[in-house]
Amino acid sequence: MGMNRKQRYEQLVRDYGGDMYRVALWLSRDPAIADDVVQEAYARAWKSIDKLKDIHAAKSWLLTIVRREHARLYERKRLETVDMDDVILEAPQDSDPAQRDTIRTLRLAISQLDDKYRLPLVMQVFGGYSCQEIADELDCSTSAVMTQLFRARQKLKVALTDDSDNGQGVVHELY
Amino acid sequence: MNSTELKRALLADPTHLEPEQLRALEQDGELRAYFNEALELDGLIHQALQVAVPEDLEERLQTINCGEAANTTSSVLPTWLKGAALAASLGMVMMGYQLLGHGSLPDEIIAHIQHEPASLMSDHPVDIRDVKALFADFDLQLKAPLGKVTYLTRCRIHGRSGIHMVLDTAQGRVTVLLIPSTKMDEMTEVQGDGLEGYVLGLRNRFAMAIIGQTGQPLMQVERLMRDALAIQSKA
Repeated sequence: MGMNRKQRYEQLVRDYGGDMYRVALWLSRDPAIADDVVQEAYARAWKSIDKLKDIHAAKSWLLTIVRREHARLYERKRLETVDMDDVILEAPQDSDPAQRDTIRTLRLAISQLDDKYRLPLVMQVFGGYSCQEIADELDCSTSAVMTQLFRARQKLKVALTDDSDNGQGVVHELY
Repeated sequence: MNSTELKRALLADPTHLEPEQLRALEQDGELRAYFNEALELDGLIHQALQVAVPEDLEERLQTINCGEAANTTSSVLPTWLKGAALAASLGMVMMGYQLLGHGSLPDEIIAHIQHEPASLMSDHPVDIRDVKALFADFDLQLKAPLGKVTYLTRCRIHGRSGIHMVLDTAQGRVTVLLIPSTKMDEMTEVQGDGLEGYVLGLRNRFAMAIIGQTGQPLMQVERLMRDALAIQSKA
């Protein structure tokens, strides 16, 4: 016997609820909005769970719902600059101080990326998508996605380099 | 693809490598150094994106959105196991789930299995067509039966998208993780939290972890996997 509707839904919450919240948070950069988005997204998922034929595609399916829900609810209201909450920027206290600084620097840099760079990065990390898969999802070319991801990572790399003792750290050429 | 294009592609996506990129990495030490740097950055990005999740999120999602079902008692996991699953997942958030480059592969394997406690609970046999379809995504072909597969998903481990599978064997449940583009020069033991096993290389293309309960015989599963799997060569 397969899982029933409720069991499938519960599994989606257990397996992916946390990551979907994180996706919503990195898209919105606001914990309250992320909370709204992920709840709306799961409400939609519950209503249309029968359309999910392949449970192995669930994460991708949910990620698409979250992305669309965020766009539907909040994209037009988004402010140009958003100050990330300190709680979000703060790395776990049990990590060593240098590592904490690195994570904080990266979180700040990620939050400051343009949407066109941040969205494919979030899809790549949380969805495990390849450039081709992101391109299919966003209806653009693979080379465009590769450029966006390259530039996103390049910017993050520069942010880390700038943060390492004003140039005392090893600066690697990007090409 | 020239050197600049290769570097651009490696930095953009260091976890989905094309055959041409793999060949270039084997031949070019400087490119390998660049690739390792890109992988290190990738691991840091993964860590940075793993922000803490509100503790009551799962409960809210279960009750608010599933109202019509919330009053029933049937569930995939019993309540005490649900608690354990929640505690495990929250624990993972609190400790900042270590991904690529920030914990040894054996540690990541144990953490990954702990992170998905439901994987060992399912009794439902996975359809062989689903198994074949997922394996095909990784250029793997099934040439012999695997027995009863009770859990199968694509998952991210060691910074790569791989396969997480559980086999129900005569000796109990055994977890098999297949991690692509990961070379293992020698077999490495994996141990922790009542789980035990090893990870080893599979034709220089995959790392294969075989994990069971402490004391559980695993050699049969390794043999089964080796007999059943054929790796399709890429053009």
